[in-house]
Amino acid sequence: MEGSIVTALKFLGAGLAMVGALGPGIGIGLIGLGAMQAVGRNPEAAPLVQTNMILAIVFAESVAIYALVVALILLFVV
Amino acid sequence: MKGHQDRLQKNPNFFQRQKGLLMLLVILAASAFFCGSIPFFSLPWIQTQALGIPKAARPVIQLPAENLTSAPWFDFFGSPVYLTNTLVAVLLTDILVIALALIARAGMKEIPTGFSHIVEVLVEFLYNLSEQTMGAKWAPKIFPIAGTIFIFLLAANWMHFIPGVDSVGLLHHAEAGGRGFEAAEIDNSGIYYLKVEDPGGTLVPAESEDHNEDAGHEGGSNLYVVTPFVRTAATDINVPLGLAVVAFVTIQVFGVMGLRWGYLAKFVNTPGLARGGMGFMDFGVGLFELILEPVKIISLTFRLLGNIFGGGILLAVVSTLIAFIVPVGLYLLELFVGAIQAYVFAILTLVFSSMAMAGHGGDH
Repeated sequence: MEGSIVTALKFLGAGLAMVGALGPGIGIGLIGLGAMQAVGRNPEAAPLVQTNMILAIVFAESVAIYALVVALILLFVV
Repeated sequence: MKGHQDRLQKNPNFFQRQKGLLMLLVILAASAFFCGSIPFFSLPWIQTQALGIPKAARPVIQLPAENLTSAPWFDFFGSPVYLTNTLVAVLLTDILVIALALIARAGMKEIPTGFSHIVEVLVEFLYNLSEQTMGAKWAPKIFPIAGTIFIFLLAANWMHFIPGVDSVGLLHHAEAGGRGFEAAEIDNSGIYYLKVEDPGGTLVPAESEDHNEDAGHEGGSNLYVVTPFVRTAATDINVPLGLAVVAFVTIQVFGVMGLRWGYLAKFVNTPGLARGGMGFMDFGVGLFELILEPVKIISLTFRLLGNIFGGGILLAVVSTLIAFIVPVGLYLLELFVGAIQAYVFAILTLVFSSMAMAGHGGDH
């Protein structure tokens, strides 16, 4: 019985860790909004905006990836 | 070419007009056959009638790379090195990239055609990228390492899409604390299969700490999982970590090359300290940067590992839940993610290097 509670808490912890994907989701949306507006105002700058957009998205996304790694470690390693 | 199109537009027959529609229908029919009939009718029939397996097994997922042999491959200064399936993937990727490079070089002309042309476009794209971030002076120096990272990671990540990678392998004893399936032999033929009563598998009892021999080992010994021969390289933490360390060293080397001894003043800001006033704050900020610098390694490592490992789990789990059309879309997504992660790793190396080379507030 003790083992089952530990397993349950493991799964619960993995699920709770993925709440960390909430912030990056909002962040990536805002980055996309900003990039779209920038390209709309100045279409010639599109390549530059795109490169920087991907860079910014990557930094925002890495927080979600940390949450994912924590969840994966809880599920498959601990 | 133009004349050909004109001729088509003047008197197209039915097949020429509806070529796209026909191709779509052929693709749908083929995917309905392969994605629909095989997992839902052919495989269940083979499983239930010929082998007696009622269900498809859910994949057993393990984060550390699996050893292919129980004996160590060689000794590295006393510590045993095992031949793992991700190591096989790395070696295969190396061979593949070198072979493709030789093929491309053999076809190089003034105006390259075919495969060499594709490679030229890729290399030109990478060179422009390094020129954009590092400037024309430093681009030739950093381009080889950034380009190598991109091409290696692209090949390593896309290796997942070769049939057999991540799926074909040996039967292996399940790890203690993990899940496994019972194995059975087909008519003394030496070919084994997994008996799947419960798709989730049976839990292997964890090795008990109080050395309870009769309970701990008997249950775990007859449970097996499939260890693939080749597993996507970036799902083993050592591959992203190794690349991240290479990228980190590159960043430091370019920082020193760009600023000489001034690079050290970024972290231990003695010129700022000599200025006094706000200089004290700059000194503190510099010390913070010294602590934050190695975090780049962690961030690069886990970004790549998380994306590729998470993608692999997604594909494996969804393919066993519903093997119809849905995995095709997810495979497309993973194709995109694999390329984006390779691009991101290369561009982060470039951007961090150019940031390391940028002097502090006009003291140059």
